[in-house]
Amino acid sequence: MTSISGSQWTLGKVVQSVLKHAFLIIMAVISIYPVLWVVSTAFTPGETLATGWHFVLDFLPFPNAPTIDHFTSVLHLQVTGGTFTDWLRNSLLITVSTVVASVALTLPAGYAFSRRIFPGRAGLMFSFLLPTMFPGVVTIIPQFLIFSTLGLVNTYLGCIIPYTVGSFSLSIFIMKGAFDSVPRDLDEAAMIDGASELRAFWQILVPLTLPSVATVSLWAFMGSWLDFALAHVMLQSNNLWTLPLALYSLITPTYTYYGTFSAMSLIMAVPVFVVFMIFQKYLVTGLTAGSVKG
Amino acid sequence: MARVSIQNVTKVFKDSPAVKDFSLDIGEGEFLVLLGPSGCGKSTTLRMVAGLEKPTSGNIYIGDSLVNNVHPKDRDVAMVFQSYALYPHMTVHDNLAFPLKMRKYSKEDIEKTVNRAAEILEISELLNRRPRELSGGQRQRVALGRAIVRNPKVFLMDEPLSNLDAKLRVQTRIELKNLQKKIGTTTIYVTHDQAEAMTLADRVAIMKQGTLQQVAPPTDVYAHPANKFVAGFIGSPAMNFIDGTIKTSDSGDVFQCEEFRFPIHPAIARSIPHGLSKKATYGIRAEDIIVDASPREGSVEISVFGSELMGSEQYVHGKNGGLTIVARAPMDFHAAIGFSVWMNLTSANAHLFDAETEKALV
Repeated sequence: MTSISGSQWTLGKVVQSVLKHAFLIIMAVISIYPVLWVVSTAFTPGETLATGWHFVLDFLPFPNAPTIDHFTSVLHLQVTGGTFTDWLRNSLLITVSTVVASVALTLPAGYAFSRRIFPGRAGLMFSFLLPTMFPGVVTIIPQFLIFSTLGLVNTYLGCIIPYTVGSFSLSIFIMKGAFDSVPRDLDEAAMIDGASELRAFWQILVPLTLPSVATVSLWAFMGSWLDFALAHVMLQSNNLWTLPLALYSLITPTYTYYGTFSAMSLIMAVPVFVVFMIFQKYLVTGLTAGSVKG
Repeated sequence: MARVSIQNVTKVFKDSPAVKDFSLDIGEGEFLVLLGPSGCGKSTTLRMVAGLEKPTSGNIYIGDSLVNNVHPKDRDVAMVFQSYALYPHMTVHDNLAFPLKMRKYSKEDIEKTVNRAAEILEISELLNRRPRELSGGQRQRVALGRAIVRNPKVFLMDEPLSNLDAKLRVQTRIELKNLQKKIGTTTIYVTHDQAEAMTLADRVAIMKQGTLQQVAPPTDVYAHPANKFVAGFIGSPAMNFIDGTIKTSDSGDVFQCEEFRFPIHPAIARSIPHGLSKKATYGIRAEDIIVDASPREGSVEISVFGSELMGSEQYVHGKNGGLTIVARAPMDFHAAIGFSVWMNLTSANAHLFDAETEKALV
């Protein structure tokens, strides 16, 4: 038996290691397989797809004659009055508005929960965490009824408001933790230096909690950019659809446009990928901010 | 600079009083040190002057203005925190410039003032660094710089030297004293370190459990403590206290405790009413005790249980019955553990405190 890093390899350890790695490889394949399938299908010519059900192994690692036809189809896609441009615009508008509203509301809320003592503080904090204990779909029907009464069904606000509120539970918790981790001496020093409470908040506290702001933004972004269920209920006109609804329209009772479907999925994934890359370094610090007082 | 007047101020946190009926006037340009053990209310008092806490009752004046309801930003005070509270995302330059920007100074004035403060504190070469790139001593200087940069009416300092190592602390407190004298701004300084208080203060205000015990110049506080608490808190090692009874008679005045009796110095005895027999506490500092290797008239026998060599001198710790005494002796005095020495406790610098009220009797 060889000795690696001072530890002795025994039969038991070898078996354990093999099983552990086998398990990890299986899990990795299960995770990566759908992604590879989508990438591969997106670049496979329509004719090849039409010849039958090939499974991913036929396409891997990449199709013989890759094509970007499906991407072109996506750009020219039309479903009774709605175009790809409309859906992209709707998705961007709703997502950007949700992110802005979420950050604008959770920053002061997190500050208040961190810095102010007021009656019902603990109860209110709990009430924000309460919705996370139920599946999101449960609230869709009551939300639809409320928004229907308010005349907000089939409007952008019909999505922006529930997405923003939906992001609160985790976001407020993250921001409270972030503000808790900033010593109170800093706000007090700023106030003595001549800053109002608002200025101390804006010029001292917010810059120090930017990693958490990035996390909150990402959370709101993901929640609205990728949502299907709520948008499906709220947005009924084809020209108001968001990208996930348009994607769903490619699966019809008679035919599924696998190539276009996959190409559109990839297009939708690009912003997610870019945002993740930009905010990657903030994510870990943002999620753990406040857990340890430094 | 301005005078500060704290009048009958009480601060209660959730039914527990932190400061009780506190009154104190601090003169223009004075360096006042609030001294006391942890939890005595000294920081709360300072924070009330800063406007970071609101008094439950009483009034605080800065200059002639009542400031009870004035926001900290409008009080024209500057504060140095124990943690320094430097803004971590700003450079040293921006930290110093922040109070000036808040007061809408012009760009040229900001540059001029920041550079002047940096020169005074010898931190000009650090202006482009961020606080995390500075040593403890440098951070402390920047924190001071942020306080002096805009020439406030009052400096408030909350244990600003406590995070420095011992050597740097001694050096910085001398610099701080010189700086305050040069600038002449009224300063209220909070510390639990009596050496710091004695070095820096024009007057020391000693607090215990939210109440003011004594306010006087450092030498007076040391030589004439108002009560047993002050006597025990000021001075290192702490004053020796012996509980017993004062017995005055024509044949001489003595202090009788459970273990022994010894004469009271005539200078003290003069101020005790003749014929009095009163329960009291006798207080004497280590340096006022004369230690001998052999018995002398009026000396008491003490069994040595330890000694601390301090360099040019030593502190001899001894016992007689339940009583422990610390006395100063020359470095070469032979104080062997387990052996007896003789201590003369009769001194003109000794103190007598009422056994019940603990107030100084003489």
